[in-house]
Amino acid sequence: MPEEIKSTASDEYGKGGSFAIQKLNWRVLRLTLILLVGYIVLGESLFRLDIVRAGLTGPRIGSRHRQFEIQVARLEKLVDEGEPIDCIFLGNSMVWLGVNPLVVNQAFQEETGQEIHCFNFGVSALPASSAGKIATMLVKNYHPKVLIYGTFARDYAIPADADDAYVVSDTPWLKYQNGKFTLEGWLYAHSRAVQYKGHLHDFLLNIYLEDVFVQPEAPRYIAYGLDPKYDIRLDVRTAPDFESPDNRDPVKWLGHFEIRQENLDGLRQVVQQSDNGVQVIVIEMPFYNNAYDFFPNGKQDYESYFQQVDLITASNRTSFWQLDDQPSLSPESWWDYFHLNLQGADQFSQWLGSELADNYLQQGWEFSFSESH
Amino acid sequence: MEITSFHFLLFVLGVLIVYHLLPHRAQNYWLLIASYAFYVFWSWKFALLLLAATIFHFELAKRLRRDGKGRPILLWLGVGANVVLFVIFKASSFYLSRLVALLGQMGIQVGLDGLRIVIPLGLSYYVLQNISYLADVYRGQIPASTNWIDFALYLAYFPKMVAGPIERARTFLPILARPRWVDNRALSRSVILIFVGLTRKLLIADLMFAHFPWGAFAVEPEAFSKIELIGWLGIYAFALYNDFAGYTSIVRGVSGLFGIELSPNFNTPYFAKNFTEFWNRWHITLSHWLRDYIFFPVNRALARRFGTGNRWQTLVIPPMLTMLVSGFWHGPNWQMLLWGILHGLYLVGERLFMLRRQARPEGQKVRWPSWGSTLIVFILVVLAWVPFAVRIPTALSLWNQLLIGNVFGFRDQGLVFPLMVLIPAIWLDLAQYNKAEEIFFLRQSQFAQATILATAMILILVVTSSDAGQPFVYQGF
Repeated sequence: MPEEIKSTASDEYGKGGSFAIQKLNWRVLRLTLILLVGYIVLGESLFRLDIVRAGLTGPRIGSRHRQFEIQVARLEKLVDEGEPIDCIFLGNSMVWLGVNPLVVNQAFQEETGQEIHCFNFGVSALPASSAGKIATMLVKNYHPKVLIYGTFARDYAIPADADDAYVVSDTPWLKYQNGKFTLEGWLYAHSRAVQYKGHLHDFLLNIYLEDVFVQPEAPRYIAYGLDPKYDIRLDVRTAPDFESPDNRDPVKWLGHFEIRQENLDGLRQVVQQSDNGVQVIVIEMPFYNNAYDFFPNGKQDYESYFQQVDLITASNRTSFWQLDDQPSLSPESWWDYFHLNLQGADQFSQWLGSELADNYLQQGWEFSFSESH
Repeated sequence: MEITSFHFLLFVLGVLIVYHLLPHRAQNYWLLIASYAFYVFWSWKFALLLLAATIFHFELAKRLRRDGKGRPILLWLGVGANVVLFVIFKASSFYLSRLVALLGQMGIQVGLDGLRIVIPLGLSYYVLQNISYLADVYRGQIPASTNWIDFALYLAYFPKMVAGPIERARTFLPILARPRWVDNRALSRSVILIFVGLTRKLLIADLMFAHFPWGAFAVEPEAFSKIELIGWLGIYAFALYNDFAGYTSIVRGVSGLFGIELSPNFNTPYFAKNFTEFWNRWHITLSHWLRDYIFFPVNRALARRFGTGNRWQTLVIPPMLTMLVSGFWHGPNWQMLLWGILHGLYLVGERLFMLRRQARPEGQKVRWPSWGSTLIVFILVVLAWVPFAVRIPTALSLWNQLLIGNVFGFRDQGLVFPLMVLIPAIWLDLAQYNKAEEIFFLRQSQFAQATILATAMILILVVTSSDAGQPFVYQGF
């Protein structure tokens, strides 16, 4: 202890408390606070300039679910660049890996002569409860004409807070978009400095640089949300090996399958977006035949999920496109038992585009799609 | 609870408020409770081990001297217990894999996961404190502590628990015994130490480590030119230094808020002009511990046996043994032993050089510019960091590449950003070196202080926006 402290303090404070602070000099602190405010204003102004944002990926929303954050950033970037968003595919990783929006557009255009600009908003391990909240946000912010929710039984079995890294529902920004005010949510919604501080964080720490700077050489479909998994990861013709964590972990909620009320409410929230003038379609996502083995009661469990979805969509007069109508996909189309690879995604997307076109032409959807930029 | 986390900040604030409301004796009780709470947060098993070690050393020290004489058997019992404790935990990764292999040869299949031993946090540090306490009591330099609370707090005091400084009972127990106050000067000094520490750790060390090409070093060291290798090794040296110096600054600042001054551990080590000076500037509390409890006793024992002349035994064995122990303490593996051997050789070489220099007439003595000595010491220290950082085969490849590789050429632009971070790192050290004190910051104008504070605060907020930074390197030792 410095001599000075002992000598000055001992007499005055020997019998009292040990905090011997006298009048403090606040000048440095005041100056620091002023400069901090200056830095924030500077950051806010800089990131409002188009020229600064041009080379960067879209804004962040402060979610723990990195993929959700990146999907919002991609969508924001497209909107920022003036690209039209006609339709959005929403769902879990089966959607994320299984829908190629460019192929959908191509198929749609071949039949209608009209372009449709879709975005793949697939997010890994997304329970239906969170899908409902995201659907509200997507419709409110991006005004798509068609919202297509690709769904699977697992979406109804996962609790909203199942896995820390994959929790979407507690994102303050998403809560704010769903009408629940939080300061953090408001800041992420309105402050460019807050939206882009994540870019600076990642740049300084040398991580995820592909999510910081725009990658000019990246395939166009990445910009539209599709994740390119080129290879076959598993030979789906073999029966699933339940001991392998590779097989077990992604579908662990199927092992104790139960339909949770909060997830059914989430589906209702999705289909109710039709009240906002959006054409909502629910799609039963394809999976490989032997994947029924992942359910404790096999096909019986699957049927219970299917009936619930059928009931909710029917009561809301929402289209429910089922597996029976979908094309059969070869074993080479699969990445694993539940996810398509790029080849499978193209086949499935071709069918999606045609179905969309048929509905557009035959059922008289009364809207025109955006012009391409 | 990482030292750089928001949770730690809240913990310190909570402990601090109650601490300053209590009278002196109650403060030590409170700090002991808080220290064990901090330790339990990591693991209650670690806390139990620490409690057992505290009781053992407290009781053993009371019996170490009888009739004014030390009892060597009890001393060796205490030292042996600490060495065994250290080896069981610290060397487990070294001997367990060999034990599993041996059992495998005997037909007994044992999974390594089942045998894995978790090293208690701070074990390496409090083991050294235990030994120094026993040795000092044995030598009669200090009396055995009769205050259990103070002694337990000496071992468990939470700011130094994770990675030191390695305090001596002879200086620390008297601080605990007397009343302590925190005045304006102590408060500002503590806050600046915390701030400088956070800057060193989060804005210099973490950023440099984040850009370090670990993978490329291991896979293709031959892809680096000499100039790149020199750059990266320099970056590693400064990253490691700022990581540990940052930690020490933070915990010294935190401790200062309780009126308890912890020993400094670093004093601009890369400005050292020789290796002896380097070890008086780098991890000072460990270096001094090794000096007092390994080097001096071995030196004295050898001098008694071989005489005080410049015999090779007295020239070579004390520094080599000391640095081998240092290497073993850092990690019982070949990498750290090689690092220790290199530093031992440096110290032996320096002793021989000094002897030859002293033997020459005044007119024939080689005159070095002081910066030349600093540069040579820095280069050799950096070369020795290679096995500290990477496995031995990779280290050999890197050294080889430094000899035979292309002089110029760049794989990519990865070095640019870390070199930019190096500028404030060197500036920080230069400022401290020239002012010959740690608190250079208070000598700046108020506007400069505010600018530095605001810039660093905004950057710290950004880099910690998703986590509390990387764990300290020396936390692993």
